[in-house]
Amino acid sequence: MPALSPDLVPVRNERLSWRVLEGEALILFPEAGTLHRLNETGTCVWQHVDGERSVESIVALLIDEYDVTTDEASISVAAFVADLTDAGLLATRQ
Amino acid sequence: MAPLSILEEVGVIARSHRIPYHVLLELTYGCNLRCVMCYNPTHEAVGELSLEEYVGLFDELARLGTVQLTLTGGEVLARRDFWDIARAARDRHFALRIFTNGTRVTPEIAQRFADLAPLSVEVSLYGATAATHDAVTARGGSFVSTLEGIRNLRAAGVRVVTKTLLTQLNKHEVDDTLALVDALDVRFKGFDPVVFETHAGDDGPLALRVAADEVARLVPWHLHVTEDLACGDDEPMCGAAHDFVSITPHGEVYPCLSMRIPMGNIRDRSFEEIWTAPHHEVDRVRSATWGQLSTCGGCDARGVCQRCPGLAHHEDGDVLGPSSTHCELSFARLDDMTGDPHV
Ligand SMILES: C[S@@+](CC[C@H](N)C(=O)[O-])C[C@H]1O[C@@H](n2cnc3c(N)ncnc32)[C@H](O)[C@@H]1O
Ligand code: SF4
Ligand code: SF4
Repeated sequence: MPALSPDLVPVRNERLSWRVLEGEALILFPEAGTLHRLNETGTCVWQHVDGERSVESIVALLIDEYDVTTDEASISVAAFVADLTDAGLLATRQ
Repeated sequence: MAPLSILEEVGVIARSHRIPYHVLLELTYGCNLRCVMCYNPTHEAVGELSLEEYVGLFDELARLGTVQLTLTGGEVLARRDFWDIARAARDRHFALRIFTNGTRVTPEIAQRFADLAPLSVEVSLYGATAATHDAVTARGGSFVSTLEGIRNLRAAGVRVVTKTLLTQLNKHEVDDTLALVDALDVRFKGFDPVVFETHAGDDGPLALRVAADEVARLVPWHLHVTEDLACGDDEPMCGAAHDFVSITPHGEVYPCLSMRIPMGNIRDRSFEEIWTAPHHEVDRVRSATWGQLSTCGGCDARGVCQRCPGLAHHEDGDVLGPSSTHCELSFARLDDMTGDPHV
């Protein structure tokens, strides 16, 4: 997977509905007719996406909260952003 | 469409943790139409919860895990602050389903609905002709403006769902209504034959009910079903007060629109207190599964029955017992399917 630029800012699609239920985010995308459920780490990243934080600062927050190395956190955030972008749940801007 | 397993999983989570997953809010009783069978106790918009009260409620519901809000009335567009309420709900990421009579939906209003990214906007249609529809709504011109509203919503890309309450006034237009819905290219939820009395206790609307055998004859089974029928032995009897709840414009909480067991008023106590407080009758509703229902559990017509515990409570006195309205409908349906009158 190509490395994700640490300066990119992920932004949530505003047309989604979502809620964290029992520690895991449930995301409804009515126009695509899809429903997604994130695991605990994904949910943590999702909640840190606020349209202001860069990938780099989200990675830093993840390292603070979980016992993971910088590499592990970077890889999982990059994969998360790529997957959710494909599903139309996120966009990224510089 | 979504893999069902996620929905099922979420349903199980919601029920096992008693999350009010879906909340129906009657925002107002005000309405520009005067449908002859309308169950609302009044058409007056007085003493309603304010925008601020809704915002407080939304914060609480978001914290408790509510995912879906149904906004209904009365006519939601009769509230001047409807868009502020809807926006406050979307800012808190609720999924919205909105009921409207459609008469005031100009292209601009349709675009505002589209901007809310709703799950659907549901519009009631009472027939295929102005004469029939307007006889139900008691307002001339409503058929034309409702159709215009539906077209505007479609043009704005909104998922429109139509539905028809079947009454003596429109039963002769079943086929034509289907053709109209087809031409409009919108989803049709079904013909609902269960007219109930008003929430003020006036049974006038019941005179408009269509007899059960006529319903079975006129309405094909797949168009009679308005909600999913889940009636396995281990399945909850219904979602009322389980993962679903309904709140009137004045803040009164009920397990469902059609289950008139008062749970409390959010102007007196927080919603969370009302939702979690022990309540003898509501707790019976919550814990019941189909298999535990003494009469319905072993009933032959269970597979075609849309039994409503609210109606069972109201008409027959026991939330866990049969509902005579549904017994009539279901046995007539069985007879129609088997060609064998039930004795
Ligand atoms: C009260 S209306 C509110 C939303 C909107 N004004 C509309 O008419 O669709 C909600 C639904 O209740 C149905 N309804 C009205 N009176 C009823 C009654 N007495 N029994 C059963 N359903 C009824 C209407 O047909 C409508 O589909
Ligand atoms: S449009 Fe809806 S709320 Fe208004 S009178 Fe008709 S059923 Fe009642
Ligand atoms: S309500 Fe009547 S028809 Fe329906 S399951 Fe119960 S007994 Fe059978």
